[in-house]
Formats: sequence, C-alpha cells, structure tokens
Amino acid sequence: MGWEIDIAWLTLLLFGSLGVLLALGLPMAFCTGSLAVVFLFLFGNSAILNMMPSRIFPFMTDYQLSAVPLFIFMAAMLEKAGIIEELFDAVYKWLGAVKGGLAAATVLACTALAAMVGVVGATEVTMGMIALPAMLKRGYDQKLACGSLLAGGTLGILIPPSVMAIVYAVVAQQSLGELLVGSILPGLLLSGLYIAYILVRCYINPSLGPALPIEERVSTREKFMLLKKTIAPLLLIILVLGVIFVGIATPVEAAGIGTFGALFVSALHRRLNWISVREAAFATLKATAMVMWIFFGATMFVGFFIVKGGQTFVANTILGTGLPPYGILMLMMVILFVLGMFIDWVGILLLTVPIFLPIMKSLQWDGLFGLPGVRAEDVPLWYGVIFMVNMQMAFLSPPFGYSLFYLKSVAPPEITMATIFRAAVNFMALQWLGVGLCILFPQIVVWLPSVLYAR
Amino acid sequence: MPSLPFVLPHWLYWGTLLLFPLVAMYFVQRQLRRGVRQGPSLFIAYMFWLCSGFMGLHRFYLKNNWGFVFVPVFLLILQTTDVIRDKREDVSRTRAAVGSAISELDRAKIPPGVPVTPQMQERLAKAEAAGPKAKSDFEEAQAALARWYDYSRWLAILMAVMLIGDAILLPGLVRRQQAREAEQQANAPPEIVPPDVPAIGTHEDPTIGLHTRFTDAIEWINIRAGEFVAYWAVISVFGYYYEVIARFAFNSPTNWLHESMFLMYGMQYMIAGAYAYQCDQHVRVDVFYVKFSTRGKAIADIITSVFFFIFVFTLFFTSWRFAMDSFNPGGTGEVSFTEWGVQYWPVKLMMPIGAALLALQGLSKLIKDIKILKSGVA
Repeated sequence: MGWEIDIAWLTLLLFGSLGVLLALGLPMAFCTGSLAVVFLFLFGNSAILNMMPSRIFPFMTDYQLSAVPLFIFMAAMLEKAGIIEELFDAVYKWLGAVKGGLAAATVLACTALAAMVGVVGATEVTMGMIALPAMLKRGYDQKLACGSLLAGGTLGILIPPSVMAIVYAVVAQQSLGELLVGSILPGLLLSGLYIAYILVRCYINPSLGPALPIEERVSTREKFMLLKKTIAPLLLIILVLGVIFVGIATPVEAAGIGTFGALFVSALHRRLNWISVREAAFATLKATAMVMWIFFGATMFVGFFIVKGGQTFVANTILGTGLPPYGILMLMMVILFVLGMFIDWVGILLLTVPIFLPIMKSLQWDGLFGLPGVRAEDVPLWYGVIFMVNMQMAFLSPPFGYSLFYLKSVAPPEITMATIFRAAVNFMALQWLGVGLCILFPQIVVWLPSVLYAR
Repeated sequence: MPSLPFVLPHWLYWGTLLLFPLVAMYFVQRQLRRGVRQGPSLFIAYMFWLCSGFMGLHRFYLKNNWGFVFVPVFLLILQTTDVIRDKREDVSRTRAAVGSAISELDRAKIPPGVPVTPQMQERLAKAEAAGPKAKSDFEEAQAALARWYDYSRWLAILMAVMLIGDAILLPGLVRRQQAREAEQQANAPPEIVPPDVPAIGTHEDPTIGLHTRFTDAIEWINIRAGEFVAYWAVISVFGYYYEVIARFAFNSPTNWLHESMFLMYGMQYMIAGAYAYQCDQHVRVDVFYVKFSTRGKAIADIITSVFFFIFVFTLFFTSWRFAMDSFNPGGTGEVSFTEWGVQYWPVKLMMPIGAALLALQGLSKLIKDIKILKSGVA
C-alpha cells in the first residue's frame, strides 16, 4: 500500500494497537506477528511480506538457541527425580537451629537449584509445596515465608544456566559464555541480600521465624549423613558450571552433558522410565515453543519498527530529555519495571533490547561518584546482566507476576493473594537494591568474565 | 585410543528422526499398560554401560562402589590423548624441519664454475650439519609418538576388558541390587511424589475442556505431532554427549553433530507451535482478560482471531514459496553450505507445515468460541 506517516505517530499507532490486542487476550507471539504483517502491508507492499520466512529461518538454524530446550529438559528431568525435596530437606536440617533458619534454608536451596535449572516454575511450585507448610507449621510469619519462596524461586532465571541469558545472547549477538559467567556474582549477591534480610529481621524479632525446637534438631552425625544425598546434584552443578567456566566445551554442549547427568541422577533415584521421559519432553516442548514463537513474532515486529526509523526516534527522544547517561539508564530500568508488571520477560527482552542496547552503546559510562566505569566493549554484557536482574522483579510485581501465581496455586487456603502481594514488596526493594549495586559497581558483573575469558 | 572418523549418513539422520519417536511411543504405551517396575532395570544399566561405562556409571547406578576402578583408567586415557595430540604436533613440526633442511642444503650447494667465497662454504657446512640433526629429531619425535600410541593402546585394551567383563556380570548385579532395594522398599516410609503443575499460563482460556468431534480430530493431530517432535529432545542429549566424548576421549570432533542438532530443534520449534496453542501455553497478558466473563472472553477471542489468521496465513503462504524455492536448485535440492551438506528442504518444509497446523488449531479454537456464544453462557 505504501502509506507514509510520521514516525512519532507510527510509534504511537504500533504500540497502541499492540496494547489493545494484548489486552484482548491474544497471545504475545501472535499479537506481534500479526501487527508486523499488517503494518508491513500498509506501510510497505505485499512483496516485503516475503521477508518473513527469511527472518524466521535464522532462528531455526541458530546454534545457541538449542541450549534453551536442553536446559529446560535438564530441569524437567531433575524435578521428576525429586532432588528439590532432598535438597531442601538437607539444607533445612542444617540450618534448623538458626532463627529464621527455615526461610534462609529456602533461599539457599533455591540458589542451589537455580544453578541446575534455567527457568522459574517447577522450583517455585515444588518448594512452595514442601517449604511453605513446613514454615507455617513452625509459626513463621506468613509474609516472610512467602517472600523467601517468591524471591528464591525467581533466582532460577538469573543464576546460570539461565534461559534468559541464552535469549539475550542471541538477540544482542553477545557471547553466551560471558553472560552466564557474568550473572553468577549478581545472582549470589541477590541470594545473599535475601538471606541477610531474613536473618536480620528474625534476629531482631524472633517471633517472625523461630528456631526449631531442640527435640526437632538433628545431631551432627545425621547432618553429615544428609550431605551424602546432596552429592549427586552438587556434582552436576560443578560439572555444568565447570564446563562453562573452564571453557572446554561450549555452553550448548555443557547443556547436553548436563542433561545426560540429569538422566543419570534421575536413574539413581529410580525415577528414570519412559513415562517420566515423556512428561519431561512434553514440558520442555511447551516451554520452548512459547519462547520460540515469541521470537518469530517479535523479530518481525521490532524489525519493522527499526527499519521505519523507530530506533533512532526512541534514541532521539530519550537523549533529547537531556538526562545524563546514568539518568537515562535509570529511566530504562523504570520502563522495564513497568513493562514487567504486565508482560512476560521474553516479550520484554525481544521488544526492548534491540531498541535500548544501541542507545546504551552510544553513551559514555564513566562511573558514578568517582567509581570506575564500564569499558565500551563491556556495555552489552553489563546491560544484559542488569536487564536480567531487573527482570527478577517482573516475576514478583503485581498485577501480573508469574511467581505470585505459582505460589498461590500451591499455597494453603489461609494465604490470600493480598498476603502474597505484600510479601513480594520487601523483596522487590531488595531486587532494586541489587540493580542499583550492579549499576554502581559494574565490576560485580564484568570482573569474573574478564578474569576467565582474559579480555 | 583409536579415532572415530564416523560421519552420520544423511539417510540415517532422517531415519532416526522418523523412527525414534515411534519407538519411544511404543515403549511409553507398553509401560503405561504394564506399569513401571520399581528398582533398577537391566535396560538402563546396559544403557549406562554402553554410553558411560568407561567412567563406571553403570556400577554407580547399581550403588556399587567398584565403579571407582574405572575412573583412574579413564583419566589416564584422557591424559594420553592429550599427550598424543602434542606428540603429533612435534612429529609434523620436525618433519617440516627435515624438509626445510633438505631444501636449504640444495640451495647451499655451490654450482660448478662459480668462484667459491668463504660465506658460501660456511653456509654449505651449516646446511650439511643441520640435516642429520633435523633427521634425528624427527625420528625421536616419531618414536615418542609410537610409544604413546602403545600406552594408549594398552589402556584401551584394559578398558575394553573391564567393560566386557562387566557386560557379562551386569545381569547378576542388577538382580542382586533389585532384591536389596525391594527389601529396603518394604521398610521405607512412602515418599512424596512431586505433582505435575503446568508451567505457564493462568488457564483462562474458556475453550479448554470443550469438545466437538471436528475440533477433537484437529487437536488429536496436533497433540500427536507435538508428541512426535517432543521425543527429539532425548536424541539431542545423546548426540551432544557423543560429541563431547568423541572430542576428548577419541580426539575426533565431528563436523556434523552441531548442525544436525540445531536443525532438528529448528523443526521442533515450528511443529510445536500448534501443540503449545492447543494447551494454552502461549503467554498472553492476562490483566484484563481474566476479568472478562466466559462470554466476553469468547467474543474477544473471535475478534482477535482475525489477527491470528492474518499472521498464520501470511506465514503459510510466504514460507510455502520459501520452501518450494529450496526444492530444486541444481537438480538435487538445496543442501547446507557445510562439509556435511545435509538436505535443507525438509527443514524449510516444516515452516508451512507448522503454520498449517497452527491455522488448524486456531480454527478449532474459533469453532469452540462460536459454540460458547451460541450456547448462551453468561
């Protein structure tokens, strides 16, 4: 049709219609895909539509993307093997004598699990089923108990292996290994913040999280017996992370061997059979298809927007506000946070990264308050990890945060949705703190990759 | 260790993709019928023996600590392959040195009838001395390589003997472990089985649980297609594992594995779209949608289905042409640009097929939405 329109109006029209379609409940993948088709036809011609398969085909032949199904499959197999229960059991018996120990154990077990799985969901649900009743039975504060589960479970998508890192690496054309390594310290930082917060609050007010009564504590001998059960999962963490760290194999191959290891762990638990393999394969297929089809749709949508000069328009608008670089970064963080209240992380990543990352790259990052800044070549890595930390909040922020719904689906009836919402708030503040620390001290992100990859 | 020059033939690749899901479906059905047996199974024990017996995993699977015997042998094998790689480099380096010493000698020879200068004589003497030195270096390097090959052969034989021995012992080991675990099982408290919780979605789709004969037929096709490609994930686990082992233990990285796996997944993504739509797994923004009544959701679905069909039909027709273009350039159909050169047309053909399946699923949903409207539910 070849219509012409001012880019400001086009932006409004494009994202306005996206908002309307999303509100009407059409899945994200089809919203972006269909709008791209409609707009390409209206503002281009029907011949341009032929570029559609050639935009999609590269994703079907992308090497890095095959790590997505592999890591999801690994998580699904491990979850079927029942290691989530075992890990929590071991950690909470170790920390039983500490005030707030159960909540800290929850976060700690979630952190260990996050190093084996790359998604949120199964961990959150299973931990919710075993840890929440355990805490409530012993008189833990409802909000503290729920909050530790929400925040801990969400770490799965940040601590490597993480599906979000793979998707970011593909979209930003960034080394996947560096991203995975770079997200380790921020992940541990968040986990440490949660645990510190829980322990401090329980220390000040022990009624929030009383220590286990003496008769429920276990002897040191028994504690070491419990450790034996955690050996296989721990070896698996060391295997996968070690392979990525040392760089003897690509992250995709690490995912492959990790999944083989998961099959073995599940065989050790005598849970490896055709039926559990089928269930894991189905779960993998569903999660992968969801991510990939948003890829297919959103790549067209963003591609159209960028070709029409949308990226330059957004860049000029944001730069035109006259904010300093760090002000612009904060503005982006707020935008991401607001989007996270409504949209799933895959959509946010695919829609915003191609637009925001070039802006980030065009600016100077000299550091705040005299602290060291970020070198130009580290900016994509740094932004990627900040983005991932920010997306932790997308899982917790009402009205539409996945972790909230996962927890509600398994919580006992006396826990209302309002309690879960309120439980999330304090931990979201900690996540904001985490984002702030990663921005203020970029070394948290870039130091480990620079050491391991000798850049 | 011997090297593994195996290159997966194309017919075997496509054959595996077609047959493995069928085999898996058969075993799943059989296990669903007969129930899952408790305790270790001989099949899994042999599988670990075959895939990772060199690390003793089959013994560990049976909670048998003799598996640790395999570990040092395996580590030694890794070590020797590493040394052999170095020694091979030494051999080719010294061989090149011999070659250059010979050509230097040729060039240093003083042609007849040319006045001899001291420099020329010096050069000749140097070249004559360098020749034997290079030759002896080369022979030394060759001898070292042969020695390390010898070690690695003995290690390989030792490993083979251990593995064959275990292959014979395995049935007995499994039987004894089964008996032991059955005894423990009798005394153990019942364990908590993690429940299945769907990973995504808030399950707001009003058409779930609604059936008509036609839509059930469509959904049957999509579920079967999804199940078929879902089992490919299992192939990839063994594929990548093979690649890593081939590279580190046998010094023979493959040139076909990575490509075969990502193409397989590429086809899977395409086919899986319809299956995921069938079980309402494509994320939507539920903020307003959850507040609609069942009737309101059906109406919203019908409105947005216009956009859905615009997308899938465009995808179908454009990718149909895209796939047809790959069929016959140069007589044999498009192949990949890599050494392996696998056929591209089946991969590209999955795009229109995936779009068609998705369109069918959208049709099924539309029919059910209309049915909800007609039935007059509030």
